[in-house]
Amino acid sequence: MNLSQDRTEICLKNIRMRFQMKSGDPINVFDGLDLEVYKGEFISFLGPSGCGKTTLLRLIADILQPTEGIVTVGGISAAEARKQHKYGIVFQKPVLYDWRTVAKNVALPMEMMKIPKKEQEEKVTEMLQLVNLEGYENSYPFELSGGMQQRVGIARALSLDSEILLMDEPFSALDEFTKMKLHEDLLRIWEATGKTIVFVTHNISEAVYLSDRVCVFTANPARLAGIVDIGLKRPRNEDMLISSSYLAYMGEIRHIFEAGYEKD
Amino acid sequence: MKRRSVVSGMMVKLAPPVAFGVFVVGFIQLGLAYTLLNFKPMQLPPPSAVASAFIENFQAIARDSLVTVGPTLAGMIVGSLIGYLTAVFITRFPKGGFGLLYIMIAINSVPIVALAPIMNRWFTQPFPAKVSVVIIISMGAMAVNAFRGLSDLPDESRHLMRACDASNMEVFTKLRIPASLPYVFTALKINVSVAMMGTIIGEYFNDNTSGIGYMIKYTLRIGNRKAEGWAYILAAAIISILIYAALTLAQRRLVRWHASQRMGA
Amino acid sequence: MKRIDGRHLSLILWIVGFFLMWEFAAFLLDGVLHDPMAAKKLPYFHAVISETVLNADNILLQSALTALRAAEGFLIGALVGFLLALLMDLFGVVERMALPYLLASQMIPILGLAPIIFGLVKDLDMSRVTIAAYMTFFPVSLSLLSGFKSVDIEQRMLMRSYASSKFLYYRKLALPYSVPFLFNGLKIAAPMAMTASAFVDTLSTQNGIGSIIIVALYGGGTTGQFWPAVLAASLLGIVSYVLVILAERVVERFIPRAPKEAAGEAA
Repeated sequence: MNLSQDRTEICLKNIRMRFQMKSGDPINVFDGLDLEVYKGEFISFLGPSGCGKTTLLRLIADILQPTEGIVTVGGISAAEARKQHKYGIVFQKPVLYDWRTVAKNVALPMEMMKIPKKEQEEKVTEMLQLVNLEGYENSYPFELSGGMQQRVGIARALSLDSEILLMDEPFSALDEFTKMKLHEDLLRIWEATGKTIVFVTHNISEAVYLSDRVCVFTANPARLAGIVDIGLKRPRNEDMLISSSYLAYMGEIRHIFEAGYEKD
Repeated sequence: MKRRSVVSGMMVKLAPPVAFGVFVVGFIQLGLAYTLLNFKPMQLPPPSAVASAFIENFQAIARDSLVTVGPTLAGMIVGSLIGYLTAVFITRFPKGGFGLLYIMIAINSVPIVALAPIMNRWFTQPFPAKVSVVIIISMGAMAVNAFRGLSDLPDESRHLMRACDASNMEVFTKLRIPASLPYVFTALKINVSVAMMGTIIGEYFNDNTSGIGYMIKYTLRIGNRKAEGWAYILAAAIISILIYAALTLAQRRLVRWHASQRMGA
Repeated sequence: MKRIDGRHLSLILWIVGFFLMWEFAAFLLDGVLHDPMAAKKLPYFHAVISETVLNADNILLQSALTALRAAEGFLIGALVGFLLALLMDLFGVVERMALPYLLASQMIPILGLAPIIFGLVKDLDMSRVTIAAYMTFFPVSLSLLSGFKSVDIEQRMLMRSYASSKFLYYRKLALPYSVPFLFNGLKIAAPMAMTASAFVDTLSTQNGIGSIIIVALYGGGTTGQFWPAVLAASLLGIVSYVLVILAERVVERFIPRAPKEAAGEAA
């Protein structure tokens, strides 16, 4: 057992995906992709639509299965990890069940786990505090703003205390101001809980601001074009958004995209 | 000032329908319909005659209404239940069950006129004969609507269930069944007037001597009791509207989270 | 393609199963329970078929008569419903005037009015057409109006930015958008128009598929034609529904709509 294996939380090995389209030839993406996600890191999958970043997240979540290759999560297969609730997931839309109150929505995964009611309630209170939604337990989703709904989604994903948080463009439908507030909250939660976060986005600035590492994907064909280590110090704050090193990382990522398109 | 504008706003809203209603009633009441359309008052009794027939025969109408409401509600509940369970079956086993949905739609298209006499032959008592007609004609709408509610779900909703490692049973109890509730109400509302029609047509064919359908047929055959026939039709409409209103109230309580409950109007 | 074949197979199996069950139930009634009324309650399916073949001429003729009147009423009702929906959408006053009554009259058992209308107009064909039209008109009008009402607000604003005339607004946007809504109404209405026409048949014993049913029911000379007539009446309802679906498919070729979100990519 070496050190790097110890640090690895998610491991993707030699991944290939073949999509059969309704008409025409099958499309192949990720020509043998390898990627390791380390324990406790904040990693982003960045790229335009059609680059396969969401597909990759779904592979980790075992919502999709690769045509070829192996996905392990926490040392076990992705399917096994899903069954053991190793991750929580947040989607682009809040995906709340309209007919459940905020508290009941957050409690949904715990109900599935048959966790005792009392414990569920305590956890819900704790989670809603964490995402700044105290007092909204008995509200229905339609009574909340888009940003608040997404907070409920995050609280639900955190409620099982899973080691990993998978986020699929969670803030892309929100306005800039709400988004900034949620960035602060997410970083605070991440620092407080030490979770591994896999964050899918098409927003370069968001990826740089939040992440330890940014995986840059390009489309046509979908592939991993490069990984950028973000050396900005923690905790991050908004002043960094105008620092020269921040702008340098933005530039570096732009270069990778441009190089990717020149090849076409 | 504000109060007045609310009142005048309501006036603007209510004026057109009231005016239209008064116009139509007056048109018939004043005899214009008879001269213009060449109808005889005996065939189309004036609204005042219908109203007085309704009041005069209120007790009899209430008694006959009870005879009709029973099978209507019983048939609607049982038929909707069968329709819903069928939808659950088709959702759970989509490959094999798919054809069953079409059978349900086909059964739904069978004319009541064909059903009522068959049921009359099967059951010697009028009650089960009427109930079974209503059961059959209310299954289809429920099966189709409930199937839509149970199966037309956003991908992410199902992904979330998968992420929670939900069993098939849990997908139904936590996701599909609650999501189908608004569609259940849509189907129930469609079924109100259909079920009422089924019972009344059933009564046309029955050998019984009571019920709204029987009385419409009976009073229309006799020359001087036509207004009474109209009064029975009025009663049927009122009952349907009451059931419909009860369903709307129940819907408001049970699915107040659904978008249909938040639209103005 | 393979999946569609599977669905067809499932449908065929269910249809075959339905008739096998019929045959089996008839056998239970006749051969096991020895019900003296078996032939009346539920005759063997094959017996009904042979009876239908024997009386094919009459059954077809009477079905056609009922169906044609229903179709006439259906077309008239659909046209009136269409125009009323258009008027209601165009003029708020018309909507406020008519909609409450439209919604309330949906609750009237319209078929119950059939004897009254027959008494008013005295003509069998006229009554058939009138009742069928009346029953068609409500669902078509209401469905189409809800289609007009649900045109996206931004789409409307786009047309407004072009300073579009009312006519062009309906031609380019509101009508094509509302086509699925219109067909939803027509799908509900078509079997109802058939039911209406067949029901008016039963009010007199002159002609039409419904009259065969009623004459046979009360022991007329055509007892054997009862079940074939019931089968034919049912088929009329089903066929009318299928015809509307086929018409919708044809219209969809000219006015395509976005396919529904693909379901079942990962269950």
